[in-house]
Amino acid sequence: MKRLIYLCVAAFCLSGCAQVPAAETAALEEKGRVDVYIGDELYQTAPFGEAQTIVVDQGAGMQNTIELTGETAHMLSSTCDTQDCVQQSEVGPHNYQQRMLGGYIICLPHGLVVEYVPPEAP
Amino acid sequence: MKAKAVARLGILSALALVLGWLDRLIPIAPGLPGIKLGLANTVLLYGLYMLNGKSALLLMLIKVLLTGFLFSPSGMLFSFAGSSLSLCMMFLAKRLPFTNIVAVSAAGGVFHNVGQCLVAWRMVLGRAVLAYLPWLLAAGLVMGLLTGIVAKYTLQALQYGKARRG
Repeated sequence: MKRLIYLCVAAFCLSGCAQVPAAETAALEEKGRVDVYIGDELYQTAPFGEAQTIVVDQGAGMQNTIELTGETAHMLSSTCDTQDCVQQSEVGPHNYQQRMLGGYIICLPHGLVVEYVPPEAP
Repeated sequence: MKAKAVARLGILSALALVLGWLDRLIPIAPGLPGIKLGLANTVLLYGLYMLNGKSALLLMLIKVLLTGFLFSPSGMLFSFAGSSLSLCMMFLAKRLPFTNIVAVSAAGGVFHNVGQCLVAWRMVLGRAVLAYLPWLLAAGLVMGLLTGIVAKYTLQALQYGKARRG
């Protein structure tokens, strides 16, 4: 009987452990994703809920650094001459429908676009 | 080209350059490309109304090249596309009946931004440009109307001064 109880407890714990990553993945998916385009070609995709820094180096001194905080995405730095992309506000689920640029951060001199894609989008 | 015409073109080019620089100093919408006052457009309007189409074209080319080299080399292509289309449309609008300088300027403002969008469409993700287009058109219309009003009163003052001198 004792053995059965131990087995049940172990099974319960294991199922719990297995469910934690599944819950985390679901939470990440719930926040959508960020697509980075150079021209009209997809360069990189990243889950929005994960804090990370994406460096896009196109050579010839063209470099952009995009920072994802888990809640927002913004252009941390750019080597472009206008610096418009750095001045564009952060984007995230809370504001992508209100921003003038929608879910996009655009660096025209480098032909780079960061797009916030909400979870319900394909 | 006569010396007087060359001197006048030089002065107007310098004025367009300074007004273009002022445009950059007055941030209407920081970070949003294409949304600016467009004060330099008043010089092109002066060229169209007080000189001729050829002089206005020359002024536009000088302004695009100098502004590009001095302030933003990457923006030169956008500026050229926007200014070319804007000048063409202003030239055509001026010939239409029942138009005035304010309406011509508004058409110039709108088509300046359309020209820039066409270049951007080729360079970056098309749907990002499309999302931004309505705002650019609205901004072009409002700024075009404002610079048109400035140009209207400037031309009136210049013509009054000219008439007083005889």
